[in-house]
Amino acid sequence: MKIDKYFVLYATGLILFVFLLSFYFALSEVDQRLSQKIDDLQKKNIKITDIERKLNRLIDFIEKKNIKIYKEEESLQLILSKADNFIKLYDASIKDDIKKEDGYYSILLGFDYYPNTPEDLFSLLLNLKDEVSPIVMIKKFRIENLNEGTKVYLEVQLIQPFLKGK
Amino acid sequence: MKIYSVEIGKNIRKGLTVHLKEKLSFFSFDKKSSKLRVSIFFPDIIYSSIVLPEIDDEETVQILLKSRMSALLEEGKNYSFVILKKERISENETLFDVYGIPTDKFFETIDLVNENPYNIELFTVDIFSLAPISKKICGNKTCFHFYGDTEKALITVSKGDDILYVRSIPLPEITELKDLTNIYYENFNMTYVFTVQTKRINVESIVISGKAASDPQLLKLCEKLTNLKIKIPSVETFISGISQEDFMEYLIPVGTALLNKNFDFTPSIIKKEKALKGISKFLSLFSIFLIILLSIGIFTVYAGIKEKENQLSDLKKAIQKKISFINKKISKDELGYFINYIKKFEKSEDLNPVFVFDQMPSIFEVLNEKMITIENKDNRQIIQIFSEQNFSSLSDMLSFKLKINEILRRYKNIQKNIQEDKENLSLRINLRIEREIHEDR
Repeated sequence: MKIDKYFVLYATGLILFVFLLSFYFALSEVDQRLSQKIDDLQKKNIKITDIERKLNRLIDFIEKKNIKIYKEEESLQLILSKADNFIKLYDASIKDDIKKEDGYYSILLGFDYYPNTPEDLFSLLLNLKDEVSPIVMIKKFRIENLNEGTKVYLEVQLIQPFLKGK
Repeated sequence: MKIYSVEIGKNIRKGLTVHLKEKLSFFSFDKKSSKLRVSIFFPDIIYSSIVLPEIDDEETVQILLKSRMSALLEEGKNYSFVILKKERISENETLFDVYGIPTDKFFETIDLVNENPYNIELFTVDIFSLAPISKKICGNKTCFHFYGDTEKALITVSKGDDILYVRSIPLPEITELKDLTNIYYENFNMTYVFTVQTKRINVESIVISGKAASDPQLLKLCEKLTNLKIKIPSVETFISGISQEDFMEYLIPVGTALLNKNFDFTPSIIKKEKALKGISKFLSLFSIFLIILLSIGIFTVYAGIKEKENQLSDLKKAIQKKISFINKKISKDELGYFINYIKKFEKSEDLNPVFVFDQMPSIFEVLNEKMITIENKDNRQIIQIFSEQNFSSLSDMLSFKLKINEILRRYKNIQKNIQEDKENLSLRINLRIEREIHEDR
């Protein structure tokens, strides 16, 4: 029996169609996966751009405040020197001894201060606020307005971070 | 659409390729189309008038026809039928005119013309090919059409599309025109008288065509016999591009080209195979169309993948560049160091009394503080304010009390203790504010 050429063409076409359809679906799957990958990378890119922006802000801040990287010995020297200054200037007493914590040295000092004017007190507080190396953290503050004048008691913690392993 | 319409007689075989439109247009006397319409000369056509029930299945109809026409059919031979509906005689039964020819004729003709059977669009007999010519000339009048050439005389009596009577006569081989006139007239006369008197058909128009139409003596005789004006088909009415003489010569192929497909004697097996072939052809073309569509789809997806690959590579490069830029700028350890440093620095700012004074300006503006203590312990900040106010009048004291209460209402987590001394017109105010210190800004 002679097989019709159109039937042969149809059967061949059908086989080819099924093959191409499978190929199409496989390609579509690849396409979908690539789209997903691109989506993920775009999200990652946005995140990294955000990190980059934050990092730039951080670097600007570091430069503005003149924060430097200190080794452990440098950090110890700095904090001891600053503690000495407090002792000399304000007759400060050591309330808590120098300690080495996780990545920083700290020491707690206490002293009385008698400002002549409120501006003197504000000036001292602002100076302490702007101290960076070491950082001056006011733990306790007491101000008494007495007849003989204003008496201020301050307890400050000096903190000097250091880069571990340096 | 072009078709090649061919007439096959005893010796005559002639055809022409025409464009099938409302009016035919001549293309060539050679075969210029793969589609064929064939009319054959077959004087032994079988005719019967049969009542058939309403059946749609063609095979059942064929079986019924064979059984009803068994007396007319040669045993062991297959026949192809043309079934023409005449009239409905009851609810379930209809009268049909059935014409039959042996299927062998189809295959003999196929061999003769050396053609693929599936290329045959219409296979009919020449007597039917006269019907479309008659219809165009006579309209709905009963038309007696006589066709004559050198090997046959054909008579078709029809009314519109209905065939009323047909006769096909082979002529002896003669050369003299005078003899031809006699034979033509003899057959015309005999058939006309039979049609009118025996068959009682009311003939309203006479058409003479073919070689017979160019015989004035015959036309005169026929006009005298019938008392009707003889009409001769005119080429302009049927086909453009050929002369009147050629038209008369090729009248049967022209009629076949115009013939309705109801008059097709193609064997049902060939029709079925043709239908299957048609379906296969459609499906194969459809599958090719789908393959093309799919190929376009594949190409589009592939192009999309290539583009996405580039996009992905660009994105990877951009991210890599940013990461290396970040890594160059600062190491992970350094980043941790600076973050901790800044956190501690920011905390020192938050704990500074200046910050506390900035946050509660209205309290410090109004109160005459005796003592303020700020204590920072374990992420909690405790602010205590002690104030003593003296007044010159009770109203001043009360208005101050109202004012301070109004201010304090704005602050949360504030504990107040206000002691009045109405005799000395003084107020002792103790405030305690306790709040959390947030590590992260």
